[in-house]
Amino acid sequence: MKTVRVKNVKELDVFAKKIANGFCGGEVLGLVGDLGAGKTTFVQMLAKHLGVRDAVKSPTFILMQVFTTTGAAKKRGVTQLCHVDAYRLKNKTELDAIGFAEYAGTSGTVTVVEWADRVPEIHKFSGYQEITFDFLKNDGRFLRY
Amino acid sequence: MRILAIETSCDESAAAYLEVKEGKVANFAHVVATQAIHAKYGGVVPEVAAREHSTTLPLVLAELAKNVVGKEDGAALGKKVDVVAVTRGPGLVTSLKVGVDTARALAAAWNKKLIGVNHIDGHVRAAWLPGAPLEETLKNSRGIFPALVLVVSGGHTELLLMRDEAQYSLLGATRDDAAGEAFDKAAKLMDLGYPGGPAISRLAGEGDASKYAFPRPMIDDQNFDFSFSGLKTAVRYFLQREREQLRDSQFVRDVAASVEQAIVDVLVAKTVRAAKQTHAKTVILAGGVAANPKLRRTLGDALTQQLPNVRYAEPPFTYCTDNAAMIAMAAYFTAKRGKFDEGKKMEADPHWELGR
Repeated sequence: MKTVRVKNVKELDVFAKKIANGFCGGEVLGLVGDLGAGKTTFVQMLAKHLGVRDAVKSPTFILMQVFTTTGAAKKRGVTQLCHVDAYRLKNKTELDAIGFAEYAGTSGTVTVVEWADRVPEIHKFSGYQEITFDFLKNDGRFLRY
Repeated sequence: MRILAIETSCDESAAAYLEVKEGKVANFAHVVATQAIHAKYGGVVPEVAAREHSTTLPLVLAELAKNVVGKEDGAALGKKVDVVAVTRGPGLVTSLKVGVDTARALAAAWNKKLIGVNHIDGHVRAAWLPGAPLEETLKNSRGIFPALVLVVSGGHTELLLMRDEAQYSLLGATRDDAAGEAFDKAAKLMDLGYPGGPAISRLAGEGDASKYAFPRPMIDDQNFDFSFSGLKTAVRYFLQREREQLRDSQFVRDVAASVEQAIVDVLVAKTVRAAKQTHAKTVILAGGVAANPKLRRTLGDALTQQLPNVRYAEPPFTYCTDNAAMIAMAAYFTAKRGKFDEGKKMEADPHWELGR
């Protein structure tokens, strides 16, 4: 496991860029961290670096949003970003009900799941990765991945 | 014109029937899936509907038929319909598809016209439903435009300008969390459960709203965008320091009131500024958070004081949360302009942004 300390959103963005550039499609990335830890902010940054042009907002209410990518990401085969929020989900049945399996792990699609700890079954997706966000005393964040 | 409308953009399965004759509502019924409807068939209302809409929607349509033609007879209902309308977006793709496919099938089977409605357009048009403040302008809406609309719900926070009956421009929207989500998540941080927006609003009534100064994100920015995610984090840090006090009920009431005040202040300040800048003649409040008494009162008071000539349209509580009655009304305005969709080509559009 690797760890990284980020002091502010600028540093988080540098980290997001590194992660985004490593995607080649088919990844499922879980984000774990408390309310206000920066999960949605991080997905907004990933989206930016994947050339998503639509506005990425918190999907807590609508549960899942699928975005098309542009530019370099699209050229190397990452065509979609699937943004899922498991905050309101109670079990895997509900994850299935939102149509998760139609996107997660499919080639060309990068799937990012906020509150991944609420649906532990997603660990079984091949190539599943996870980033945990912890609060640091001085406003920064401690990331484990 | 007789319209059957379907709404399945997120968690609510809903259907409505609306007949408008000579600019007046002649017949109207609407059904939102409830525990009572499900109990009849031995089921429960799912909190996360998604694919479950396909089980729930037929029950809701049967109930609607009973209200309109006196029996659970879909064929009889179909004979009383000219247009089938459905929410086409924005929303959850899986949920939207159930409604869209149902509407397409009904329109094809009954040989009726079809209209795909924008969910936000629906929230706005709730102001024209029976018992709503703009009801009497259904026949002639002259004098109410330009109208400024604040749509606030669990999933949306948007400021829109209606130049006339048909044209929307998006002035601003939230960049992260919706206002309703800010309420719900603050409630969660205060251990009030989720969704806890209504709980905050109840407790706030007995609290001191000036006790704690939470941030009012972007309140002084000259644009009309919103951001509530920072407020959430501020509440988190605050409660981390004051964890012990959560056992004190007056403390909880004061925090609830202060959080509510912060959210309402931003919404009202931006809405009033936008109304001034656009010379709006009407301000329409819409969406689930429009049921919040503090928001209704504060916006009303601010308009009375600063823009006394502006007409303020508050939705009745029944039409604030997601329903299909509002979708039927939006379809009526679209049909009046002769804009229909082709069944074969109509698809759900989860990202459909109104006025962009």
